[in-house]
Amino acid sequence: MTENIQVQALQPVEGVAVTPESVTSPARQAWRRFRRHHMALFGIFLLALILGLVVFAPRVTPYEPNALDLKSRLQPPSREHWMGTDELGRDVFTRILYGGRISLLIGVAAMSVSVTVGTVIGALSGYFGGRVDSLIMRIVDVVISFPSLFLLIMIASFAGSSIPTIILVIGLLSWMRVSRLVRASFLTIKEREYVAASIALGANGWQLVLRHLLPNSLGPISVAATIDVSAAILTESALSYLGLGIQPPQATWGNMLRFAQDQMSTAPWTAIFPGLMIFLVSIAINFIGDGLRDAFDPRQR
Amino acid sequence: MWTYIVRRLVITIPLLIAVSFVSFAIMQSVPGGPMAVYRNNPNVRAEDLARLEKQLGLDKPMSVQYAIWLRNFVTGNWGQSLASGRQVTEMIFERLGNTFYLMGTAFVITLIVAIPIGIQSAIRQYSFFDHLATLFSFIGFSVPIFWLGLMAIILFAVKLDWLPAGGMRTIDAPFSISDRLRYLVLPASLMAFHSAGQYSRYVRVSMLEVVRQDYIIAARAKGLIERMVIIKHALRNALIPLITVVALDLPALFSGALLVETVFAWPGMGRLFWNSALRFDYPVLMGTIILSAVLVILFNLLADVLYVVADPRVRLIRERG
Repeated sequence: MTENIQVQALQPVEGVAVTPESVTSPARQAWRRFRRHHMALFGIFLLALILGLVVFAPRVTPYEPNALDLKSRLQPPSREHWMGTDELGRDVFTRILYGGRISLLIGVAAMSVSVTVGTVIGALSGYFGGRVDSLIMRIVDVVISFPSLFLLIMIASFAGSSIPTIILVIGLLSWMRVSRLVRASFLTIKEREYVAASIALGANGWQLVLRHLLPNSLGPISVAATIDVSAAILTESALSYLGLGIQPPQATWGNMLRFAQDQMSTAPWTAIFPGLMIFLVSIAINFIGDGLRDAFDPRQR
Repeated sequence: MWTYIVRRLVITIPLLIAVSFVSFAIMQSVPGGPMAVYRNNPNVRAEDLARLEKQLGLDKPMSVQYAIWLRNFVTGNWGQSLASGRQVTEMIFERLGNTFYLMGTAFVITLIVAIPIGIQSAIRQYSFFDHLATLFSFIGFSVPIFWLGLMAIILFAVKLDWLPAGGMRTIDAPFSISDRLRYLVLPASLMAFHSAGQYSRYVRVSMLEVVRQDYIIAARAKGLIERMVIIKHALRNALIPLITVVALDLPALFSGALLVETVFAWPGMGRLFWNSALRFDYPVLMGTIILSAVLVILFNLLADVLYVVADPRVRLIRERG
C-alpha cells in the first residue's frame, strides 16, 4: 500500500511538463534570480576590478606608497601621477591601492567577527526560545541603543588603533543585525514539518542545528554579511578620518581624507579620490547585497 | 496608556544601569586607567598623581567607584572636564541644543523629500522614476557622509563661494535668520540626503503593501479619484511603520551628526565628544554616552506610544514581548 502511494507521487501530473528547468534546486533558482539583477552584476564587476587593482598593486603602479618626493608635492593629476600627489609628494593612486588593502581587509575581517558572533548569539536565542530568547534579545536591545560610533570612538581612543584592535572593535559592535536575522530564521524553520520529522527520527540538537536550521538560514546571513562588509569599511574610514583609526604612515582611505582636508581648497584631488573609492566599494557591495536579498527572498520586493 | 508608559520607564532603568556600567567598565579597563593621560606626562610627579587619584576616588575598588559615580550622576553631578575643569553638565547642555537644531532641520528635510519620492516610486512601481529613486537611495546610504561634506565644501564654499565652509553663525555678527540659514543649509541637507534614501525605500515598501488592502479597493470602488485614495486613505496607514523606522534609526542619526559636526565645525554634542575622546577627557565622554543612550531609549518609548496613537489596531499589551 505504501509503495503504491510513493509510486503515484512520483508520477508526473497530467498536463504539467516536467522539464529539467522546472525541477531545479532552490540554490539554482536563487542563482538564476541573482543573474537577472543587473545592479548586483555591476556590483560584482566593480568590486572585482577594484580588488584586482588592489591585490596586484605592485604591478599596477611603479611607485611606493610611502616614498616621499618633496620636489613634486601637491601636483594635480597628470600622466605620471594619475590621481596627483599629496603634501609629501607621495603618489595618491599608489596610496589608494595600498590603502585599499587595509580598508578591504578590515571590512572582511570585521564582517567575519560580526557574523560569527551574531550567528552564535542568534542561534542560541532562536534555538532555545522562551526565557533564554527574551534575555538575549534584551541584551541586544541594550547594545543597539548605543550610538555605536560614539562607543567606537571611545574604545579606539583608549584601546589604541592597531589593525587587529580596530577589526575586533568594529566586529564586536555590529553583530546585532545578524543575530536578529538568525534568530528570526531559526524560529520559523523550527516550526517546519521536516524539522518535526527529523526530531521524530531521533535527531539531536546539534544535528538539527547543523543539518536544518543553519543551512536554511544561510540566505539571510549572507545578505547581512555583505551589508556588514560595506558598513565596516565605512566605519573604519570614519574612524580613521577622525584620527582614531589606522595611523599614518600606513595609508587607508579614511586617514588619507583626514590629511587631505587641510589642503582641499588648493589640492582637491587628494580629497576626491580616496572618498570616491570608499563610495564605489560600498555601493558595489550594497548592490550585491540587494541582489542576494532578491535571490533568496523574492517576496521582499 | 499611562500605566504602559510607567511600566516601560521602569524597565528602562535597569537598561540604563547596564549601559552606564558597561561604559564605566570600558573606561576603567583602559591600559593605565583613566589617569593614563597624566601618567605619560613627564611633568606630572608621582605624588601629584596619587593625590589626584585620591581626590577623584580612583584608589577605591571599581564597584565602589561605580556606585559613587552613579549617585553623583543621578543627582546631576556629572563631574568636571579633565581638560577644561568646567562642569560636564554645563558643557553638554550648551551643545545639546545645537545638535538638536541641526538634527531637527535635517529630519524635517528628510521627510519632505522622502515621503513624496516614496509615494511616487510606489505608484509608478518599476518605472524609470522608481529605478532612479532606487539608485539615489543606494548612493545616499553608500556614500561616506564626511567625504560628501568635504566635496560640498570644495564646491559650494571654495569654488563657488556661495556658502560658509563651517561653523554655525558669523562670529560677532548680530543675530539674523538668513545668516543662520546660510550656515545650516549644507550640513542639514547632507544629513537629509543620507537618510532620505532609506526613508523613501520604507515609504515605498509600506505604500505598496497598503495599496493592496481591501479598503483601498473599496475606496476606489466608491468612485474616489486616485489622488484622494492615495492621500486620504493609503498614505495615513503607509506612514505608520515609518515611526518605528525613525526610532530605530536614531542611534545612526547621532553617529551621522557626529561626523557632520566634525566636518563642518558645528559646535554640537558630537564634536564635543570627538574632541574629548582625543583628549581622554573621560567625564565628558561618560556624560555624553549616557545622555545619548537616555535620549535613544526615550525616543524609542515615544515612538511606541505614537505608534499606538496612530494605529488603534495595535494593542499595548502585545508590545511587551
